[in-house]
Amino acid sequence: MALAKLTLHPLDKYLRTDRLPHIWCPGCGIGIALGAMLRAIDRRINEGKLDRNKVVFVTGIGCSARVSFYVDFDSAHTLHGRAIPFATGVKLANPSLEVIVVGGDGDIAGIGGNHLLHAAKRNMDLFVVMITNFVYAMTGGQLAPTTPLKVYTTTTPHGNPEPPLNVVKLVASLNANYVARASITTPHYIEMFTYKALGMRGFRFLEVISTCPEVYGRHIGLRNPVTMFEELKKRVKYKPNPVIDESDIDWEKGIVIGEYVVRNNPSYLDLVKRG
Amino acid sequence: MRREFLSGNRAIAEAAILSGLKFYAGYPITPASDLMEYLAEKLPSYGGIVVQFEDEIASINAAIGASWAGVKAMTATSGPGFSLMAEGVSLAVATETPVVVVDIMRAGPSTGIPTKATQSDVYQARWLAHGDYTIPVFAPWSVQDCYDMTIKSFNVAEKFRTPVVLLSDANIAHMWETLYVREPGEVEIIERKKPSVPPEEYRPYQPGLDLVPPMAVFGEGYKVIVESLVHDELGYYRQDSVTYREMIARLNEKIRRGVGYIYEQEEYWVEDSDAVVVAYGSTARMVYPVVKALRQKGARVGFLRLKTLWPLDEERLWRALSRAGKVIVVENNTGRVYLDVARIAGSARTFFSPVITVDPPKFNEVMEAVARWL
Amino acid sequence: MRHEILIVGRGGQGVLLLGRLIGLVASKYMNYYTSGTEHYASETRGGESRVDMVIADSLEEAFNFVSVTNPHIMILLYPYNLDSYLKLAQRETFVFLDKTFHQGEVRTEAKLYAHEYTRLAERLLNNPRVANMLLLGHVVKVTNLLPLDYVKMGIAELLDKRYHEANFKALEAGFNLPA
Ligand SMILES: Cc1ncc(C[n+]2csc(CCOP(=O)(O)OP(=O)(O)O)c2C)c(N)n1
Ligand code: SF4
Ligand SMILES: [Mg+2]
Repeated sequence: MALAKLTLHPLDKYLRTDRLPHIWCPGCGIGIALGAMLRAIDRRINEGKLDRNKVVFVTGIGCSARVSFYVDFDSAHTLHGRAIPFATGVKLANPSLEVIVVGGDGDIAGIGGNHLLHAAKRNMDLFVVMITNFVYAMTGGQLAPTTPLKVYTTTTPHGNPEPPLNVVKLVASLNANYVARASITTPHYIEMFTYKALGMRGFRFLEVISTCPEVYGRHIGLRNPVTMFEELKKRVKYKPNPVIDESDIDWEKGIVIGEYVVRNNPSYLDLVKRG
Repeated sequence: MRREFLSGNRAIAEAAILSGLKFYAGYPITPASDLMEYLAEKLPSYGGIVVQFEDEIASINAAIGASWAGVKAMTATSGPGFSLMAEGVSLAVATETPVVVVDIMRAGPSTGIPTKATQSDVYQARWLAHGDYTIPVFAPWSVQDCYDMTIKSFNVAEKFRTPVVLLSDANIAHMWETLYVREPGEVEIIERKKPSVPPEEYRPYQPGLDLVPPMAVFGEGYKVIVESLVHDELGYYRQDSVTYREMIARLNEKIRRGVGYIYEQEEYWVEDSDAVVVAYGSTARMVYPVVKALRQKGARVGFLRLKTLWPLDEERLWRALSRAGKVIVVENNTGRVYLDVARIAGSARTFFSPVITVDPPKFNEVMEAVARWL
Repeated sequence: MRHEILIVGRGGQGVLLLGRLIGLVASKYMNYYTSGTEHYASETRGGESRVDMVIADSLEEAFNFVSVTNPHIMILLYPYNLDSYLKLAQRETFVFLDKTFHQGEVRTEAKLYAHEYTRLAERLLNNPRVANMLLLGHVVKVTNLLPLDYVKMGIAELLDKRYHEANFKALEAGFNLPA
């Protein structure tokens, strides 16, 4: 049917289209991040550098983790916080797989924080994408490790008393080969960094600053997806060679995106004895 | 087959290697650490890998991931670490992942007594995690049994696509005994069923007649879905009662139907006895000579050892026990397996006679516990 | 046949190795059924180490074994709780005691073999660490428990190649002590 042809998106070939519509709210940033990642994967596949049948998506639980529902690759929707160890098992059991972890800031840096730091310390051969929306979105707006100081959440109704965790800084302090930050307001960087990370070995970490108009937007008075997007866009600054001291996320001073760490340390698979 | 002299933990490691173990994930804990240390030394030369993770949570999840990448995976721990594995075990249940979890029981609760054995964690093995499920639990009583039941654990995990708990304890773990080690080919090693259809027709959770779905793994082009949420045959999340009922019924039923393969009991002098003592694991080891001694004195008493704790073959157990007037259950806890035996034993009068000790149970203690009810 | 053996020493003296060696030789080369338990303080150096084992013709005879109550052989590399262990010894028990660490008198009705095994290992072999093998050589000579050749095969199997020579020598030196 002509109509069906018209509605086919170039990335549909990587999606389980029978599972659409997706669960994400209108104006949610997660879809933008996923689209950009898929474009990077598509480039790698087209260049013959990535075998589609060797790509595995591993996610935990959360809005961001729902990515595994929709990608038409081998995929695992596991436990909240445990995507990284699960993915580690996958990679070590079959090193020919390209294992990609996607998760929320709570999933990856909160409940899964110890796994994150150990995977980075090991320089484990994984690509981890953390979607930072500053909140526990799926469960209705509780405090996340990235929630800014003083912000109201449903579990900090008098304002958040904890300064936020700078996850980029944390991972950069460890043995990761690649640490970058992008924003859904600049999807071409998500694509670029994903593309680059997929060509590297060792632990690769990408933080994607996202918008959650539905939950976080309500907390900070930016309920309208377009306004929220524009407010974020105003604050995001790309730097070609950012230094780690600029990586703190500050709504007033701005959010610096770019590649913070690019190096070629031996990875876990380079160093571990097998066979 | 050759004769060796090994500890219970080393026997488990050797049997795991023979079964085709390729991925071991663990975190140190007494009395299970030496199992990991032994494997760390040996497994790489068999093409496998041993990784010490940051905790037991990571260990079980990594083992599950490895299983989905197509290899046989195992982890071993003791009570405190096993508690941390709870959620992971339930993930393995829901995703029907073959994985072997070895629990070397020590005294609990909490940190307990790390070096001493009890049988306090049998319910932890049975129902560690949330959710309505059944998983196989095996309880060896000797080094040879550790070896043989490890092979069985892997076979059951693969055949039924399920986590399996091998429940040893600190006594057996560090007991050294003569052991018959098998050579490759001398014992049946089961591999998980693979899909026979092309990827387009594959439905990852569509069961065969045995209620077990064939398992495609990552990297084979099947676009596998591993789903921790309640799911239909496609692996798609569903929130309706029909799907839930179907899934839960099948997860339990596939194990129940497999009971003929999974369940094992050993009977000694049960046929002609007025009383039968039921025991398992390291406690059973001392029950056996006690019953033998009682028989030599003329008592008509038998002994039944449970090799499989769950699922119980209730029919078989009932047939063995209902003939006896009395059934005495001896456990090193306040009465766990007893609850099932009492329910199953039919018209027999059942007695619970604990031998609660953190040292290997002594002959006299067990004699007292048994003789009290004769 | 059913023999109980007790081995006691300090962590680091090779108590566990002796137990594993005797168990391996009995199980693998002599078709006995062997069962044993190891006890040790959590620190690997110092602290009491003990192996309780039984060697029997059948599984049946070894199965209910928990700890030594009626020792056929006692190997005491260090005099921890010496008096209480000696109480287990019967008239026909072979007791081997390393006198290097025990100067006092030993009162027992058992068949006592008390030598300065560690000092001998130092003097004859320049290596106190093989005192356990030297003592085992003497046990083999006195008790005929295991054939010397089998023990060597066991050593070859359990230990890294570079330690074979020293341990063989120690074993032989012990074997050459007067019975
Ligand atoms: C062990 C466990 N604890 C709590 C939950 C409930 N839970 C589900 S998602 C979530 C938070 C998700 O936040 P985040 O990871 O930031 O993802 P987002 O929804 O914001 O994308 C929580 C707490 C759970 N599923 N499992
Ligand atoms: S709740 Fe927030 S993060 Fe979740 S789908 Fe909606 S907008 Fe996106
Ligand atoms: Mg979040």
